Amino acid sequence: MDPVTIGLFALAAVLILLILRTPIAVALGVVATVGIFLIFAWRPYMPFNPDAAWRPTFSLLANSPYAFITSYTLSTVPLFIFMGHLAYQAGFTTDIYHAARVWLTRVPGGVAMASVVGCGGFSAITGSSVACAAAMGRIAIPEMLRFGYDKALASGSVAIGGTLGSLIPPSILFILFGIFAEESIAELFIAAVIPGLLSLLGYVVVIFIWAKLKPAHAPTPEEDLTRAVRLDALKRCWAILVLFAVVIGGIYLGVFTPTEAAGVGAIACLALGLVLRRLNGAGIVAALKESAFQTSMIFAIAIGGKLFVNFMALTGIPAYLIDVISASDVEMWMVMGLIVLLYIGLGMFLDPIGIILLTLPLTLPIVETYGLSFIWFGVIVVKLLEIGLVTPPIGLNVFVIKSIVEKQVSLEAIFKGVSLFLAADAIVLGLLLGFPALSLWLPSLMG
Amino acid sequence: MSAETKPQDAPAGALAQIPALAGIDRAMALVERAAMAVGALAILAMGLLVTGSVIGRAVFNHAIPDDILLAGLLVVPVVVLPLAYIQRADGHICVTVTTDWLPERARALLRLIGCALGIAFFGAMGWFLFQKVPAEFAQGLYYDGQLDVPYWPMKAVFAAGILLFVLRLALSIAAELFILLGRDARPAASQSE
Repeated sequence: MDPVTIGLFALAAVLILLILRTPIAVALGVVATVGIFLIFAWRPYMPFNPDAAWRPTFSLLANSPYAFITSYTLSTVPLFIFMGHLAYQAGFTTDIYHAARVWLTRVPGGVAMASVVGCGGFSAITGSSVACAAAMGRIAIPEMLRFGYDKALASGSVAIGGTLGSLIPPSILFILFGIFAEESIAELFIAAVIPGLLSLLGYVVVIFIWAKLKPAHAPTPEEDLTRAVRLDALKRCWAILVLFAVVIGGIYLGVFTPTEAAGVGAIACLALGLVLRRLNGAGIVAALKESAFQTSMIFAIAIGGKLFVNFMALTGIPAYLIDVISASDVEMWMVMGLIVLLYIGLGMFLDPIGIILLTLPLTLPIVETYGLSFIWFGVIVVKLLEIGLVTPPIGLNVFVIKSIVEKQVSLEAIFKGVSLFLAADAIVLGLLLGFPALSLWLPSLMG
Repeated sequence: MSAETKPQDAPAGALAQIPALAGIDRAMALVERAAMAVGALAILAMGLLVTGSVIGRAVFNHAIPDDILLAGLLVVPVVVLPLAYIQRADGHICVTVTTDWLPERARALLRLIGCALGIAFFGAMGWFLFQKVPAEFAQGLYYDGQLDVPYWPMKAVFAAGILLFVLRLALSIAAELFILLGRDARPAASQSE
């Protein structure tokens, strides 16, 4: 059988298994294994010969996942996750939100802006959007509701702010993208700084306009904050600023590799927490357990994804797609438009890590054909995946917020709140697509 | 979509309605918690190793020997040892919105199929990797480097983690079978998708 045909059936099989509730890791892994077996057993114009397939299939199954997870680069993931959980346990994330809150309190929509800025600050030390939304949701939403903020604005601003978790470095999605695209993770991190800040600015502008148009949705808190209180709040942020400077500064200046930055950042966070007496044994244990849980869950999918990438390479589908596109002489912007639609469509239903592992074997060769930068494409992909985190019907961040607010805010209200921010996301995405320099300028300055 | 990200203690008394399996479940839960703890400690070890190496390089002009190799190998316990614990907490990510409308028994059947496929995939992966361990042990194979780190220990850890996961998947299948037969034996957390 033609490998391309096997590959197309396999893609359909993955989607069917995912729809039928099969765990993503298992769906990708099982289909890849069966597909690899069929490719070796059923070569074009040859009779079906399973004896020719057992050995290569089992060899790949035994070696590929193990070699993949023992990669030094991948050790970055648990270390960045650990750093984020330690910072949360030590209350460093609350410091950022609190400082933004007291400084922005007089600005229309200031508390909601503070929650988005808090998300941005937390994003600078964690690599996960869901963790960011969950952490800031517990801190900021109850306070906004207490001040009489509109429920849609309160919950929507944190759900959308959480998406900064993967865009502002460090980021698990960029690490996975870098590994599968064989691109520099350090450059991907640096490339995402301006797009991340641009997204943050977009959300702040939406909140400002919302609060101006509907002041009742964002009442100004009746509190008298002295200059001393504000300065004190600002001073308390030094720990998180030090951590950010160590990690991103170290990577940017070439002092560390991203893996080293993750290790040093995590241990620096641990040391700061202990020295400042803001971390105790229970907090460290909780951070370690949560980190191991999240890492294992993510890597289970990555193992299935790795085999699926091996399988896709064997099918020749990426090369086939390139031939089709080259023959049809499609304009680059049309292809990019289709890729954008593909990611937004999948983002409505699938988990970002699953999408990245499912699609990269197909989209990267296409992007390469047009001579586009993988660094720029990585930023676009992560931005699209982040949009998928807040779009119905799935919107993982929205469900995370819902689990925090429980009956206080309806799911519809959260989606309604998020929808206004999506306009800002569309503009930022357009800018990133239209002006690649927004992503590529900072990496170009690296030594 | 279900995405349990909090490592709450796995629900106690899982499969309690199946007397024959309740004891196995409790024993498994203990082992799973211990495995989870080892996986978690491996993260701390990884962080200390990387940081120690960076400091050593900066201060003494010498990194910790084989730091890159050891950091990569430490990923193994972090990834495989918590897999069974996560399964017990229903934490492996799957799309649920497409089948939430189905009756409970139909969903139990789908979960059962997912577990069976999981056993086939992860079980085969662990088995074929484990088959290399005796020969590598007997031949004394090791990674090129300063410490001559042997191949087999982390492969054995990998196989052990997968074995634990496969056993938990088998227990999950037993629980789903009980639902299919009309008796709900799933832990509370598993029913809240």
